[in-house]
Amino acid sequence: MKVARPVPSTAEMTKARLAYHPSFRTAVDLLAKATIWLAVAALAYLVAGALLDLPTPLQGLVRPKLRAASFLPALYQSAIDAILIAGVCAFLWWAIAKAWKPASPREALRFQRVWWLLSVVFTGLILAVFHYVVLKDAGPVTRATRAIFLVGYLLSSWGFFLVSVLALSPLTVASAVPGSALVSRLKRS
Amino acid sequence: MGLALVDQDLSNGNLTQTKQLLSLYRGLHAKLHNGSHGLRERTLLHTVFTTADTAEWSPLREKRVTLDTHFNYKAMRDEAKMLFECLFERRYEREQSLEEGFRGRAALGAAAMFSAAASRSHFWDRLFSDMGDIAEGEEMRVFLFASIFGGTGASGFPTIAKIIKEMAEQHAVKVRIGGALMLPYFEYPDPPASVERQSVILSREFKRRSRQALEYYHDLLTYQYPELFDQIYLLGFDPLLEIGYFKEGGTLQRNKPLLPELLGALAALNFFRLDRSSAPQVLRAGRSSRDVSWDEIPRLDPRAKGHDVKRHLGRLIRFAMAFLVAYYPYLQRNSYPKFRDQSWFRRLIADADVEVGSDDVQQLLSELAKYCQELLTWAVSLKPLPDSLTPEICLFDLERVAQRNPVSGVTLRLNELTSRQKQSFQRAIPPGAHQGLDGVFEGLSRARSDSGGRGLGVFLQTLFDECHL
Repeated sequence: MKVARPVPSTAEMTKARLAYHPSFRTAVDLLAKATIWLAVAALAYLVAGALLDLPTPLQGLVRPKLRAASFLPALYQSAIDAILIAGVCAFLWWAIAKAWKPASPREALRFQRVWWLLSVVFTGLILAVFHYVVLKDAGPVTRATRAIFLVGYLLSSWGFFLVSVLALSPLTVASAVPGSALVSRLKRS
Repeated sequence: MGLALVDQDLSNGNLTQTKQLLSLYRGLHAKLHNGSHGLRERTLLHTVFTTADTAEWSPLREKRVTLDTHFNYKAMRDEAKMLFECLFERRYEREQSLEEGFRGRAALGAAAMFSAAASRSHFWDRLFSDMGDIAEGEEMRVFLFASIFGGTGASGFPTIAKIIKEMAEQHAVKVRIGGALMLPYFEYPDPPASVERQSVILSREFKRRSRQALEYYHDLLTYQYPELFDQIYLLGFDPLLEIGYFKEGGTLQRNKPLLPELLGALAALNFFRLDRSSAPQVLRAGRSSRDVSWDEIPRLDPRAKGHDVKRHLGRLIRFAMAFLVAYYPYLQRNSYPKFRDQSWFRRLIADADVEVGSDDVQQLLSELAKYCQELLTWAVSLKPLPDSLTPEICLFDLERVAQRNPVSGVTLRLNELTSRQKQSFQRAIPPGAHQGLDGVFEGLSRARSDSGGRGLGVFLQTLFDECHL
């Protein structure tokens, strides 16, 4: 049976024209590249700040509450940090996906491998931040608070992963990521 | 669309190549438009070409045939012999073997064709049976291609047109005949000293012969048979394009493709699109600048937005590149399992129930790859090798993916995707850059499986659509 091709709506056509407009694409690519460099620089500053004991925004935000060593503020703080980190990482992933677009199935496969590798690196970085920035000179911190922060940061490092899958789906790069098939199916239904 | 090839030299390499390409195209068309892997109508490879059992017709099929043996000179009456001797020279016309064509002697071809057309063959039977199928009020259109300076084509052009017109009158069918007459557009070096000059046609004779032939056509179409052709397209190229080798004919004669042949194809498309009411015309191709860009190529639909020929041909070339460099290598039996989880594969191949590893799919992919290679080789060959005298032909920019050699021809470099090839894809249809392979891949990954195709046609159709300019 032959199926007639659906005629795209005006909104779809406008969106497609805009998406392929050279200046729009260039602007998005520039923004994506700038985001990557900014994010990398911010992370480097964060790690360097921790190592050299420079003041960082995270330290100022977290330490007073940690010193209070009470359970609930620590929980809130952990949740806020997790959301912040997840958001930043998801944006960073989005920027990477915009700046480095696979041009063939083989490149997409390579991209997916790099994706996994970077995920591990990012998780390591987040743990480093946790160790050096949050806990260093934090005063008396209970084991429960420490555990909450650790779990929160670990969850956030994977949280960005799911957020970025949602943001990028159904892009190819997301197709091999766990959960993306479900997202695609949900979108189609 | 019915297709027939006329050549006295049946072993000619050009003819063999054309038949192979036609067979490849028809095989692909049958699989992609009639089989389980369907494409949408009026899209990639949609034109139906039909032929008689044998697509080619050779007026004189006997082995070691000469004009004398064909007309049985020895058995002629004395008066007939004398007339025959007056019309045809003995050594180079009557006794010359015609197995490799009429060697640029149009008078020989005309005599042979009239005589051979009288004895019916599959070629003519097919044409006349098509005439029988024409409904009342409908018209049949026939388009002839021929060079004006050669042998078979030059003699066949008016002769075949006359035979068709006469047959159409007998069948009471309205027939419109159009034709592309190729004026001199190429040249080749003189033959080596071992070849007798009288038995071959030299390219320096093309202009003189063309002038004589044009005078003949002027006389024919003005006084003798004004209604013979409804539309004539005169095509040539100045300066003449260099072929680079000399061959008398036979299997080794494989001329490289040249721009005026593309113009000839466009002339045919123009003819088949003409209104019924259009008046007979003689059209001549020309150009307003030294170099050839898309602005110099005629458009088929003057009302279309942009250059329609550029858009259609450009998309086909880009499809061929994308398919060969970015998808075909990963759809082969031992490669595709690695890519099964990717979005484009799931949506356009797995959801369409295509078993990529099966023999029929692998065969189809391999035939399509061959077709794409032929197409790209053709596009690369259109551009002459750099030379201060030859104009630049800037229709396709495929230098980054092909290596050209005057002797060995074109070698495509499409084995792996490099940045050069990505650039080439974007800049294949000058001027400017178009959507890159990354955009195509993204488009495929976002595409819906309801593109109007079936089986592998879903993927191919989507890829073709994404390769737009």
